[in-house]
Amino acid sequence: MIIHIKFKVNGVDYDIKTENNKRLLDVLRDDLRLTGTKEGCGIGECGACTIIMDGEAVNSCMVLAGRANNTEIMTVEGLEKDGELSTLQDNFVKMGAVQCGFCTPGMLMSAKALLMKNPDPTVEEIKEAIAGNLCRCTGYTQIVEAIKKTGEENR
Amino acid sequence: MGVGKSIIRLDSVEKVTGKTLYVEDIKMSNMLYAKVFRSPVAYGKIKNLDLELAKKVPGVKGIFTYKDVPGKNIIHVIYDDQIFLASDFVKYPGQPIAVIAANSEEACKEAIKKIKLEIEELEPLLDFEKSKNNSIKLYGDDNIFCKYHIDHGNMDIINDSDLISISDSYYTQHQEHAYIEPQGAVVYWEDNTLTIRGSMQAPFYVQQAVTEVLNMKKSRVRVIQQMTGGAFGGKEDVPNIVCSQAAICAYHLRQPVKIIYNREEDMQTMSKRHPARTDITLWADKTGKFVAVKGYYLENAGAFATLTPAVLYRGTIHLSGPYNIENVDVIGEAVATNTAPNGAYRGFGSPQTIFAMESIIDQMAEKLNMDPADIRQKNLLKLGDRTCTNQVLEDSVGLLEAFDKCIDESDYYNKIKEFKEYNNVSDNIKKGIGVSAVYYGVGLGDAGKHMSRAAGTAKIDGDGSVTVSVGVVDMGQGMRTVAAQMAAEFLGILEDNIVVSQVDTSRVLDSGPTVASRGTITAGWGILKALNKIKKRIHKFLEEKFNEKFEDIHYKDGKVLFGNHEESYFDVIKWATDKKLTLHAAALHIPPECSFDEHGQGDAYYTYAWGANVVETEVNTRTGEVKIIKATCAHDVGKAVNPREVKGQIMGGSLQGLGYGLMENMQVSSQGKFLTNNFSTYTIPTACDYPEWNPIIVEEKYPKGPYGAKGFAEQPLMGMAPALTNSIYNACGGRIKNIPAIPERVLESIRGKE
Ligand code: FES
Ligand code: FES
Repeated sequence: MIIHIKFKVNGVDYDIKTENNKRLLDVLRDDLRLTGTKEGCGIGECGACTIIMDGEAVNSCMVLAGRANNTEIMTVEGLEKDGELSTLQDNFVKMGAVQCGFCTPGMLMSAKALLMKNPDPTVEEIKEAIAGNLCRCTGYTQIVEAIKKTGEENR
Repeated sequence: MGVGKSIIRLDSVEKVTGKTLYVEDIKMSNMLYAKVFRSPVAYGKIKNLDLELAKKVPGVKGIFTYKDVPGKNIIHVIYDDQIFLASDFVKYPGQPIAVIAANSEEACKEAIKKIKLEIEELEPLLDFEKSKNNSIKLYGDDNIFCKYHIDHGNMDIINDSDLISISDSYYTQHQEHAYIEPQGAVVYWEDNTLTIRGSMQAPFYVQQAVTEVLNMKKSRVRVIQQMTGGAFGGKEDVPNIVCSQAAICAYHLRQPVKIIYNREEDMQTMSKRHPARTDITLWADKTGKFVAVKGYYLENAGAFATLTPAVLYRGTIHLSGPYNIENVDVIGEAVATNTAPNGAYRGFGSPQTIFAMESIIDQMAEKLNMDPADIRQKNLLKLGDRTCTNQVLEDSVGLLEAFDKCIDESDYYNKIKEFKEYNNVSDNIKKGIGVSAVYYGVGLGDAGKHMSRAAGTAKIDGDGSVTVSVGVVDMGQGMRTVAAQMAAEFLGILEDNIVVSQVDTSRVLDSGPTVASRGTITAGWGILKALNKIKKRIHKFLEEKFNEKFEDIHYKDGKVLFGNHEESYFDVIKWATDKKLTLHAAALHIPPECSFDEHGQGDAYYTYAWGANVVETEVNTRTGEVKIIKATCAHDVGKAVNPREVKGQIMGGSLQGLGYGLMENMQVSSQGKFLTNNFSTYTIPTACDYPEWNPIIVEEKYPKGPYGAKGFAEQPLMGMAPALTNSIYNACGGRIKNIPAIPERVLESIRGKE
């Protein structure tokens, strides 16, 4: 069945028609061609597909397209401001928080959602916020430090 | 700038903006999707395969079986025993039988449901300890794929009644790579050439495999390594399979075909670390000097040999550890079972045997009433010593330094005391500290010497910017950044002048697979040798231009320095370009030869990395739960080209090793299937599980390596499981002989001591 979705993604208004059985992940990646959001498992276990929906970090592989109607969404493509890296992205780069990069978009979105609510989180709060984002490359410390530093710079 | 600096990774800005394209992000017009129809059973005889209904599913463009294979129906790795698409027998659950191409994934799935397979199920062989000479014959007469023997010194010495000995057996499980990006490829025709873009470590393997399957000219198969989202060995040989599956569809249908494995399919059918049993006996004198070691290492290879011969080679050689032991008798054997073929995983057969040796050393220390660190320290290999393969260590042995630094910085001896006092008064929370020492033979060794080469190209454009290439890939470890740093250092310019090409078999030279921690050294050898050819021409050019002889020419800070001259590098390049000097070159470097005779003696690897780990834990003796508190990991890398990235490899690799030791628990059903085939059942460490890290870099330069670098990135994983279990023992007295140290086993081990 074809459904109609109106939503805002990275500040841009969209009004699209798509299949009702599609996941939000597919709408973003296929319909909008925002391929920054990744699919690592498709069952809500890896966090690679994390996006921010109305201020909350969600696994977009677990959300049906229809639920996105009338929401405001942010993906990794929305982090840059005027072609400049955001502080969070910059800290990921500088602190070695990126290796293969496949977990990175989801990791950034979980971090961003945390920082939106809690601008200067503790290490424990950060760990909890990214506990659903698996990274097999880094050993996590660099990611946690990059988020922590971003928080400190928010002070 | 240059070598030894922690410059930011050159690919990281694209990665944090989501612009990097991985295989799953590629979309082409007219692109089809492929899915694989697989064996539902572990062992069986195919009676009939009926595709008629499946072919009628709307959207299906083709279904391909062994009958459609134009070349060999074999995926070539080391032996030619791995069937591409099963024709008569299937030997493991999920073995590929047919590939479906359709214009949507849904249509593929629908077609899979409509395929009618008649199969006669046979009793599978699943217990690898019973495989050898079993009446179920999966390989040859005895089910043994391969065997190595190391016979060093003279084992008669064990009859000396003054020696103390201890024996035990240790078990290790399958380990899943858990790269976050699943396997995948896109295959399409371009310029009459079958072009493959895939997530992989070894594009030249894929090129060879597809060439054989499709019976094409090798030059008509072009393989491009797409940015790869983690590999860890899990994308060494299995992309041969994945790419061939998409390739056979694209070959016949002449349309682009994309294949992306879903996580369950990936975990169910792709290679894993070999499960194993290691039996070990260690002899020492009363002072704790190791005198002899005897080992038997039995690997479960799964249904086909794939990389097992090479994996077994490394595991067998690494069994006796980085210790000076004059008498060594080790046998390694790998046997067949009806489970998915096991293959390469960071450490490549060695974490299993290291777990055994590093555990038995602690048991020996206890028997002799010595401290586990002291007994190791006494036996560590030093410059001039001989390894178990009788190889004389001629250079770059930073083991003692790594070990001492690790012990010092972890405050090991104080903690031993402190934890003892703490445990005396603490009720159910016990603290422990454990140690391990490791070494790693860098490169492919004798087992892979036919592929050991480094071929690079370099080109300097008129504006001074440089393009270099070498046939090793960046799979997330940072190879291209490190290669750019070495090239920049060599020319005395900034990295932003350097482009390191993506590996594309049509324009980059075969340098063997990106495995065995050989990326840095291979890249350095290939690229620097090519650049050096250009430098020589520039030397001659400058001598002619200035009509003077110059002893040396130095490239530094954007300047070229020769005689009394100091010129801008960019001016020199412009002059040379204007005079039509050849500013491009290709070069082949052949690494030092390795050897391994019938007694397992020889120069097994051209050099070794060295390391030591100290792990602190807290064990809850009521629940059996273990918390990893801190890990201090010291590694001799020769030269850290990019120290931040080296530390990234230490921490990331070590966490995989801790996961292996503590929680990664692959379960196999009585039918040979993996029951833990997603991230909710197969749990890997999360941000809540990692310990406080102290990664330590030791640099004992390898004179034959580029800038003294060797390779090491597998090593951080290798010794973590025993450092962890030794730490658990130190905390609670429970000896784990079967990893992972899940709570039930920890509790059992505590009960066992009572
Ligand atoms: S792809 Fe959505 S959680 Fe893994
Ligand atoms: S950087 Fe590779 S999974 Fe996190």
